[in-house]
Amino acid sequence: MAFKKKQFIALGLTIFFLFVLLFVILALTSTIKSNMLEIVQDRYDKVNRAMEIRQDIFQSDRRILQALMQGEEGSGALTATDVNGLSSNIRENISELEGMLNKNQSKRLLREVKAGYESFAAMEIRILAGLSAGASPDEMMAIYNAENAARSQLFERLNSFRDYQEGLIGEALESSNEAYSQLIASLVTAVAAAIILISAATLWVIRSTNRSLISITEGIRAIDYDNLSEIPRLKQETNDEIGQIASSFNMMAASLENYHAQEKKYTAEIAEQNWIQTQSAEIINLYHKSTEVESLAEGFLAKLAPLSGASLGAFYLMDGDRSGTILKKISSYADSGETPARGTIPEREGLVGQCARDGRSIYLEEVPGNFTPVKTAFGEAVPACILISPVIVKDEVVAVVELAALRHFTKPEKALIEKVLETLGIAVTNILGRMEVERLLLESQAQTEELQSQSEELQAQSEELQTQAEELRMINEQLEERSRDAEEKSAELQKAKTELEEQARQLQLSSNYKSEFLANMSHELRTPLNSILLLSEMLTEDEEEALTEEQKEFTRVIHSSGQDLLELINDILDLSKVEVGKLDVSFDEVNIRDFGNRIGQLFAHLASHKNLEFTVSTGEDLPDVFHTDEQRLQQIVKNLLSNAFKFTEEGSVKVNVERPGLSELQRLPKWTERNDWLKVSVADTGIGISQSKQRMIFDPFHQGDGTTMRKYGGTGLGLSISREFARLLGGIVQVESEEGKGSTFTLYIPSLPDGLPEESEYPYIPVNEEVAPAVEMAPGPSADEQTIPDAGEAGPEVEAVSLLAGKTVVVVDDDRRNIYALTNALKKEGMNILTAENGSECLDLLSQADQVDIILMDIMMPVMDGYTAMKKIRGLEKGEDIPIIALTAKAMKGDREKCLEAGASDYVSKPLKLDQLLSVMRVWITKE
Amino acid sequence: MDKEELELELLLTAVYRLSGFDFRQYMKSSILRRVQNRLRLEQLPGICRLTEKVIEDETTLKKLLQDFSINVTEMFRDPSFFKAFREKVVPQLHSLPEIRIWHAGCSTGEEAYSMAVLLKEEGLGPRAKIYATDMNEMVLQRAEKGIIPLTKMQLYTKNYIQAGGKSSFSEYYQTDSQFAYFDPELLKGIMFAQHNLVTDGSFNEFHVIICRNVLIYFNPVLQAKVMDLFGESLASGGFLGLGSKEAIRPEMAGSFNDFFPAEKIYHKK
Repeated sequence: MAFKKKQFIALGLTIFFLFVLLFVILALTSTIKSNMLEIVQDRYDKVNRAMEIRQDIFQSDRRILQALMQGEEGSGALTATDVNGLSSNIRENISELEGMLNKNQSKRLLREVKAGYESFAAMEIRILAGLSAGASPDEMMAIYNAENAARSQLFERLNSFRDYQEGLIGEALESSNEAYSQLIASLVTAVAAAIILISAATLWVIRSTNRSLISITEGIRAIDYDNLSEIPRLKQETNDEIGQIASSFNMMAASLENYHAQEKKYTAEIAEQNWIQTQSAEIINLYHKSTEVESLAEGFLAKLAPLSGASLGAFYLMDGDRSGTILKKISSYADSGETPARGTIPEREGLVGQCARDGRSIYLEEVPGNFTPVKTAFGEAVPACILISPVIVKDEVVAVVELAALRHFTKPEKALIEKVLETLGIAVTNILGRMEVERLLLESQAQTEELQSQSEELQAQSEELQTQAEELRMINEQLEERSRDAEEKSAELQKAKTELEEQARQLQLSSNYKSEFLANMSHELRTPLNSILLLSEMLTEDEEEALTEEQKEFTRVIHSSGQDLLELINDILDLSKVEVGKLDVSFDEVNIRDFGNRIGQLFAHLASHKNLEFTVSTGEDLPDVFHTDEQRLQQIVKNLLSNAFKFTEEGSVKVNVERPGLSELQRLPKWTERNDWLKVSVADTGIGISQSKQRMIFDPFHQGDGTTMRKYGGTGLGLSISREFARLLGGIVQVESEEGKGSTFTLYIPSLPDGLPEESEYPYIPVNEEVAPAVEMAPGPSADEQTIPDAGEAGPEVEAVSLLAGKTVVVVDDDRRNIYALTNALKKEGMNILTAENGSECLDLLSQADQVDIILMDIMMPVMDGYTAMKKIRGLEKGEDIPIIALTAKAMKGDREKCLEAGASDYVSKPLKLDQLLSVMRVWITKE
Repeated sequence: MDKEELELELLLTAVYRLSGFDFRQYMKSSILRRVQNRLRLEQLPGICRLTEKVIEDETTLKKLLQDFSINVTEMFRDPSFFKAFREKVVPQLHSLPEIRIWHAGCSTGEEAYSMAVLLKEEGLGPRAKIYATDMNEMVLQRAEKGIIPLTKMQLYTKNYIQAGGKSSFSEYYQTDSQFAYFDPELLKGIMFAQHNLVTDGSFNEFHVIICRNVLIYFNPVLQAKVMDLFGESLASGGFLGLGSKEAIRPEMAGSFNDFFPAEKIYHKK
C-alpha cells in the first residue's frame, strides 16, 4: 500500500471518529436540552399558572368578603370592578392552560378546576349584584357561606392539579438524568474505540515507513566519501516513494561513480599537463638566461634529458653557408668520449639529416646493438628507443635534437619534448639574432670609438695646425719685417755707402785733428797758460805804473787771449768728458722767464757791437717752474748764440723761448706726454749752412768748411758740445738752414724733476748719427717687441709711441660738448679728428675723406640716427671694414643687440671712460 | 713595433726621466708630428739624434717640452659653449654658498678669464674661486699676467658678444700699443697653479670642471685615467665641460648624466 494511502487512512480514521463523536454528543445534549426545556417551560409554567389562578381566586374572594363587611354603597361598585378584573385574569389563565395541556390526566383536572371556578364566579356575581342592589350583608353573607363548600373544593382541585404537574416535573428530571448517564457512557465507549483504532493505524504507518527509511539511511551511511569509485546500492524493498528514493539513490550513485571516474581521468591529464608546463617553463626559462647558443644547448639538454628519461642526447645546429647546409653538433648529454655522436652531419644524411630536411620527428623503437650505448660505472646498455626531433621556426628547421632512452618514452615525456621544442626554435633564433646584434653593436662601438678617436685626432691636428700656423704667422711677420728692414737697409746702405766713403775721409781727417789737438791739449798746457794769464793780469794792473798805455793794451790782449785759450781748453775737456760720460749734470728748478732775460743781457753788448738786431721773446704759456740743469742749458744757448753772432754780418739774431706744440713734439723720437717741454730757437740771417754740410756741423772740430774756420775762427766745438749737453738734458738740437739766408737752431728739452731716466729709454746717440734736419717719425713696433713684457710690468705703461697717433677718427655725436671733449682727448693721442653731428654728415665725411681708420658713433641723433648710419656705412664699399664703435646710452641689452645688428664692431656705454674708449680704439685699430 | 715607434718611445722615456713630464700615454700621432716639427727646426735626421740632443742639451729639452705643450686657446672659445654654460649651468650654481671651478689645462688662461667675466656678469663673482692649472709653467707665467696681444682682441670681442656677454667687453681690459691687460680685479679671483693631469692627483672638490681640448692629445688609457680623476674631484651633482669633439668615455658613462650634450656639458650623478 502506498505511503500516501496509509497516511490518508490513519488521518481519515481519526477525523471520521471525531465526526461520529461530535454527532453522538450533539444528539445527547439536544435530548437533555429538550427535557430541561420541558421541565422549565412547560411544567413549571403550568404550576405557576395554577398558583396564579389560586392567588386570584383567593384575592377576589377576599374583596367580596371585604365588601360584605363594610356594606357601603360606593364600595360595592369598586369591588365589582376589581373582581371583574381578577375574574378575567383567571379565565385567561385557565384557557391558556387548556391550550398547553397534553396529558389527559391534567386536562381532566383542569376541567374540574374550571367547573369549580364557574360556580364560584356565579356566587360572586350574585353577591355583587346583591350589593349593588342594596341587599343586606347578612343575606349576602349567607350566600357566601353557602358557597364555602364549593370553594374549598375548588382549592382542593387546584392543589391536586399543581401536585400532578409537580409530579410530572420530577419525572422529566429523572428521564433527563438518565439521558445524561447514557451520553457519558456512549461517549467513553466511542472515544475509547476511536483511540484504539487511530493508534493502530498510526503505529502501522510509522512502523512500515521507518523500516524503509532506516534501510535507506544505512545504505547512504555506508558510502565512503574518500572513494567514490564504488558506492553500495540500496535494495528496493517496496514500490512506494521510499522505494523510489532508493532507486533514485542508486541512479545517483551510478552517475557519481561515473563522474568520479572521469574526474580522476581529467586530474591525471591535468597533472600531466602541469608537469609538462612546469618542466617546459623551467626549460624555457633557460632561453632567456642564455646568451649563446652553445650554453643554451648545453643547458637545454642537461635539463630535458633527465626530465624526459633520456640517457643520451645531442644538439645539432643548422649551419648554412654557400656550399650547403650542415648540422653541427654543439652540445651533447652523457655522450661518451670513445664513440662520440658525430660532429657534423650534412643535410639529408642519416636520420638526423633527414629529420632536418623533412622537419618531422622520427621515433626509433628497435635500436640495433651497435648504437652508442648508455654507459654507467657498472656497465653499458644500448638504448631502447631514439627520438630525433627538428627545431622549427616558421617552417624552417634551425636545429635538430636527438634523444635516446633505455625505455620507451612515455606520452607526457614526448609531449614535454614536443612542447619545449616548439619554443626552442624561437629561442635559438633569438639568441642567434642577439649574438649577431651584439657582434654588430660591438663593431659599431668600435667604429664609434675609432671615429671619435679620429675626430679627436683631427681636432688635435687642427690645434697643432693652429699652433703651427701661429708660429708660421709669427715667423712670416718677422720675415716680412726683416725683409722690409733689409730693403730699407739696403737702400740706406747704398746711400750710406757713398756717404760713408765721404765720411770715412772726413773721419780720418777729424780724427787726425782730434788726436792732434788732444795730444797738445794736455793738462800741462794749462800750467803755462795759467802763468801767462796770471802774469798778464798783473801786468794789466800795472801797480808800478811803469807801462805805457800801449803796453797796457797789449797785456790786456794777452790776458783776454789767454782767457779764450783757457775756455777753449775747457771746452775740449768738457767734450771729452761728455764722451766718456764723466760730465755731471744736476737738475734743479729753473726760472725760464728770467733765463730769457739773462741771455738777452749777456749778448746785448755783442749785438750792438756788431750792429745786429737782437731780440729775445718769451712765450706766454711757459711753465713757472722747469726742471733742468741751468748751467748746461745756458751753455747750449750761449754756444748757439755765439755761432749765430759769429756767422751773421748783418740782419738779426732772434731767440725764442716757448712751449712747443703737440704736433712738433710728436715728431721727436724722445717725446713722452709725461713731461713739460721747452723749445728754444735761435734764428739768424747769417751765411747759412748747405744741405750737405748740415750733417757734419755737429761733429766736433767742424765748421761749414775749412774756409769758414779761417774766416771766422773758432774751434768748431760749440755745436758738438751743445748737442751733447742737450742729450744730457734729455733733449735734442735740430737745425734748419738755407745757404746764404740764415740758420735756425732749435733746442727741445723736457722738464725732468727726477733727473734723466735710464740710458735705455734715452739711448746714447752716437756722435756721428744723423740727427737733423730729418723729421724723425716715431718708429712702429718692431717684430722683436711683439713679445710679452717681463713680469712685474703688468698694466699698460705710458707709451713711448702712441698707436693712435696719425690715425683718422670720425666722431659722430649731436652734442657739441661731447665732440669737444672727445676731440681734445683724442688730439692728445695725436689723432686726426673729423667730426659729424649726425649720421648723414658722417656719410658725407666718409665719401670725401681718403682714409678713415675708426668711427665713434653715437646712437640717438637727429636727421639720421646711429643704427641707420651704421647700416649705410656697411653698405658702402669702403665702409665694409672700418671699425665702428657704437656709443650706447647706459648699456641696454636691446640697444646693444640692435647696434651689432646694424653693423657695429663693438660698443661702449656712456658715460664714456677715456681709458676704456682708448683701449677699445687700440683694439680695433690694430690690424689682425 | 716599428723602428720609429721604438725611437719615439725611447725619446719620451728620456724626456720623462729628465723632466718628469710623461708624454708616453699621449696620442702617438700627435706627439710624432710635434717631434717631426722639432726635427725640422733643429735640422736633425732622426729621432735618435734628437734623443741624444735632449739628453745632452737642456735647452733642446725645454724647447721640446714647449713643442709638446699645445697652447691654442681663445677667450670664449666656442661661444656657444659659454652661452650654454651661462644659460643652463649658472642657474644651477646660484644655490651654492661657494663655487669652485677648475680649468684643467688652462694654457695661457683665456678660458679662465672668460669664466671670471661670465661669473661676474652673472653675479657669482664674489662666491666663485677659479683654479686654473696647466703643466707648462711658462704658459702659466703668461696666464698670471693677464696680458693679451692686441691682435687677438677683435676675435675675443666677437666671441664675447656671441657668448651672450651682458656688458661691453672693453669693461674688462685696458690697452697700450701692443697688448691688452685683463682686469686685475678679475685676475685676482683666479688661482694659477702647475698641475700635470698625467702624474698629479686630485687636489680639491669642485663644482665645475672645464677641460676642453686637452683629452684629445691623450690615448684612451690616459683619457680614462683623467676621467677618473675628474670623477673623483667633482662634487656630486657637479658639472664637467669638455671640448666640442670630446665625450664621456663609455666606461665612465655610468657616473655621468648628459646635461647639455650638444655642448658637451655633463652632470655627475
